[in-house]
Amino acid sequence: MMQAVSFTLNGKPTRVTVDGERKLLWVLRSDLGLTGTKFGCGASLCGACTVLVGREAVRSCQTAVKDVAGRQVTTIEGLARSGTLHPLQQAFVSHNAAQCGFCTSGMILGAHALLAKNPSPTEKQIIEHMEENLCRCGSHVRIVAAIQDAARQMKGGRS
Amino acid sequence: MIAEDNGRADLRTPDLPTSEDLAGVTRRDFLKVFGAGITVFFTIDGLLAFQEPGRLPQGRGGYPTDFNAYLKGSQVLETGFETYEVPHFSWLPKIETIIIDAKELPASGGGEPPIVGMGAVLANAIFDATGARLYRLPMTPARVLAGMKKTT
Repeated sequence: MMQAVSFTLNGKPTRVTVDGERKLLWVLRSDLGLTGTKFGCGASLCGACTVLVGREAVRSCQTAVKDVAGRQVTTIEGLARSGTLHPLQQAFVSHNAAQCGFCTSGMILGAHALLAKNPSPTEKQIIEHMEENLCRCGSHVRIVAAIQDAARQMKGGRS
Repeated sequence: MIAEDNGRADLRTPDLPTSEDLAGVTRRDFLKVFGAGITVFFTIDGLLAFQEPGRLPQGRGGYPTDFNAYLKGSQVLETGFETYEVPHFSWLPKIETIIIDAKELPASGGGEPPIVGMGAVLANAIFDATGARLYRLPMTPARVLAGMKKTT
């Protein structure tokens, strides 16, 4: 059923009129043109489509847009501020943690949710948290290093 | 060499040995030494050093499992992540890479070739655990069992 759904997207009030069951992923990518969120498996198994709803990392391929009504949604496009990369983004660049890059936005937003809850995670905690985000290129070790680096950079700083 | 992380054996295909089967085998991290002659595109401590470690996880995913996806020529047999296993974070040990800066040798290429090292690592792990010496990819459970029967 077509319905108007309002939510805050990357800090800006947003309103779409779509089938409420339409997946958030396609609203972001196809309706709103924010293609930083990737379609990977479409079954909540790979994490490429991860976005933040509030402070939680969710799989947008399995999230009906009506379920984010009134919520704060953050995509990879919403992390940089005034042209300055978020510390997680910068750390991924510094550590070359993106190889093909397809999983990267999901990895960064997944890590963002972790650091929001636990600003100083251990390596084991990072690995456990990121376990269901898949990377085909084999960048795992560099991704963990980037998250550790970002955690250090963010201490007392930007969240 | 057995790669084990977070207390779990790194051989995750269901019919392969479990960590209990591998009792007494110790975890080792990976040290990879790679030489491809003079580097003309990447820098030694830059992109090449970042590129090379990725091949170990790729091989770790491919040799036991996802090469099954192409067993019938070009026909893709597995189309979902339920069975097409991609390495997870917890599967991987620490990886240290040393790039040999062999300026006296011509450039011979980098990137994907180091994936072959993981095949030997996994084959040795299977041999250590089961006595089965595999020479053919993918190292499927059926091939491991066939190899084990040869040893008994």
